[in-house]
Amino acid sequence: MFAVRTINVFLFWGIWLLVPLLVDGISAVAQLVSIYIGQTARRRRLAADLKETGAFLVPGRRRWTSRSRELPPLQRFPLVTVIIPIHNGSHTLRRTLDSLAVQTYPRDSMEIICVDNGSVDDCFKVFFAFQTQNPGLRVVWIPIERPGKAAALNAGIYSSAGTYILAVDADVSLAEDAVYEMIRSFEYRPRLAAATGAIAVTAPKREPNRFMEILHVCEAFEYLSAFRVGRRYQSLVNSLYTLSGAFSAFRRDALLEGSHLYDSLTVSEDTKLTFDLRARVRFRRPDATIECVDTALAFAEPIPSLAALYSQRLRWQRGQVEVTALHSAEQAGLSGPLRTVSGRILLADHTLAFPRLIWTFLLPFLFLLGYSPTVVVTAVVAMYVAYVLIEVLFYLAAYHYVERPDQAWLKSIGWIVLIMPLFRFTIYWFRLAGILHAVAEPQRWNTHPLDQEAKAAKPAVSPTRRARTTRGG
Amino acid sequence: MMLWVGCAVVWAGLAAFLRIRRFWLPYYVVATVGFTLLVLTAARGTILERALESITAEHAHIVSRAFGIPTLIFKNAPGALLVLVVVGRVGWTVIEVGIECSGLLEMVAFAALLLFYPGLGLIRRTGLMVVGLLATYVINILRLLLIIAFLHWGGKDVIFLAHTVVGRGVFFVLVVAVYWFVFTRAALRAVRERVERT
Repeated sequence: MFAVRTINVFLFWGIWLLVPLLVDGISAVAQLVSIYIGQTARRRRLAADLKETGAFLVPGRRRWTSRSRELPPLQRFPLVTVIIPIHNGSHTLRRTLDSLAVQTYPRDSMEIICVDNGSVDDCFKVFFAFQTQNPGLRVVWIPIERPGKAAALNAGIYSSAGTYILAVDADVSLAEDAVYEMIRSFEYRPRLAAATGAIAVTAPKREPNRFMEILHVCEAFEYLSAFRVGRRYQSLVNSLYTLSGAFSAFRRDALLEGSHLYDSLTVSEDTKLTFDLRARVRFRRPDATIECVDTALAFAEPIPSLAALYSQRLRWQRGQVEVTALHSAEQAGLSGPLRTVSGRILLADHTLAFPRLIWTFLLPFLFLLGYSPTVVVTAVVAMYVAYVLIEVLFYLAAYHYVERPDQAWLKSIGWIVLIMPLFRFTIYWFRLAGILHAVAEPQRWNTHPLDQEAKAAKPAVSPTRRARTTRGG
Repeated sequence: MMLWVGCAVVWAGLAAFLRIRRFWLPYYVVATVGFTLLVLTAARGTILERALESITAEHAHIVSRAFGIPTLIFKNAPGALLVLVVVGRVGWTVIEVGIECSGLLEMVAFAALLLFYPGLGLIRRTGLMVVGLLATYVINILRLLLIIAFLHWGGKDVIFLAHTVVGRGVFFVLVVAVYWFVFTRAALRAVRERVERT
């Protein structure tokens, strides 16, 4: 009887909480499938691309890993423009520039454009010192008056001369072969119109406390699972959701066609551009793709605080709603939410967030319906166990995806599967705040953390200048 | 009663404070959860709950008979629905339409989520409320119909499968569709209109 009543709570009432789990479970299984079965499809696609360029696939590496080198070496090195939008980035800019200076891609085939929009710190000094110390590298500084990351990126794009354009955030450092790997993908894959690099979170030198240490491990695992393994799956089905603002690359002609580039209509200029570009490039070439090049690796700083994490996720969620709203024709009709990846993501992140909110709080009150507290607690524990099992699937997918050094790291953080459900649950609330902000606040509402939000709300809400968070996901 | 009124006053004050200060997340959580709990505790065991249960049973009875599945309702027990089981010569069996089957919880939760959802105008909110509540009610009747059909042709042994798995699953999928059209589509429309205005 106890078991039946527990299962009843678990399935009958808990379904509203279980379904997000099911969505995650499907994602985890899709990731696992994309690692094993998807490998064949991907190699077939690569071989077809290479045929078009007269090259052949490098044999041997059957397993699809993050660092696999399947393409032949580059035979020519077209000019690449790297654009770095800057707004008060003095603390991190040098690291970004240094990572560009040591690229394996030839220096004389690279130009770096730093676009500053209204910095008040010493970032120009940082730039100037770097320029002086690297005379062989073409580095330019463009100050602009107009605020916003989108304006900075567009100014850089219009000033660029490269065949390929790379956008790199001022707080991101690239792996030394990142530019080479990115350009190699473009050169041997004519269908590739734009690509995002794989973003990993670097471990901080010194953790302020145990809580932040755990938070950073959760964040690093999430990036690995969602942005590297997950984006590879999205690439496989040619439905990449976001060309990460942290590190993305474009074929010049694909980007400049139609001449509308980044815009400030939404708080997620990178996702907006991805949606716009997807619609646009297919007119030019119906089989054009936008993918994640997982051999081109960029490293982002870990989030500095829980408040910053709140701010970041609120902005991402708000951006998701705004971008999808502007492309809502894709979700038209009864099958709309299921037909496209953006629709399915919105269904999971937005639609299901509402019942999940109310049932999270109502579940403990089921004793009002005659269920004993023991039954309710047992059902909640069973739900947690189910969530842990899904994390195990994500963990396995990530483990089979990465190479040995990262596998060793994953082995050392096996306990993460017990913590991740709580991390994701926290993220859920942050995203819910983003959902509410998207409909309740003016477009340029400042996505500051809670304490700043409180301060900002005191007199009246004024459209303040959006905080420039250059970290991308 | 006094305790309930006290809780309601505190809830209303807190929700209003959070709304005015634009603390959207705490506001929405406090407003929706508080409203749902207050309405449920007020409605529990009252004529409202019993009325909804008996109307639900009555409608399930009418629809199931329309589909050729014999059911009965006794005047003295309006929430109890008798279903004829044709497997293994069991005869009549009873489904008690209680708070779980009446859809009361789901409807109150839905109403709370929509009532306090920011960014919607009065007319659009009212329209969505009427359509959403009506749709939830109809979907619940459909769920009951499924349970009745399973019981009628599958016997008492399939009641768990029918009630907790199939009925709930179908109910869930259809209600999520309602949530999509009421919350997500409405949000997309509102955000698009605002972004295009700026």
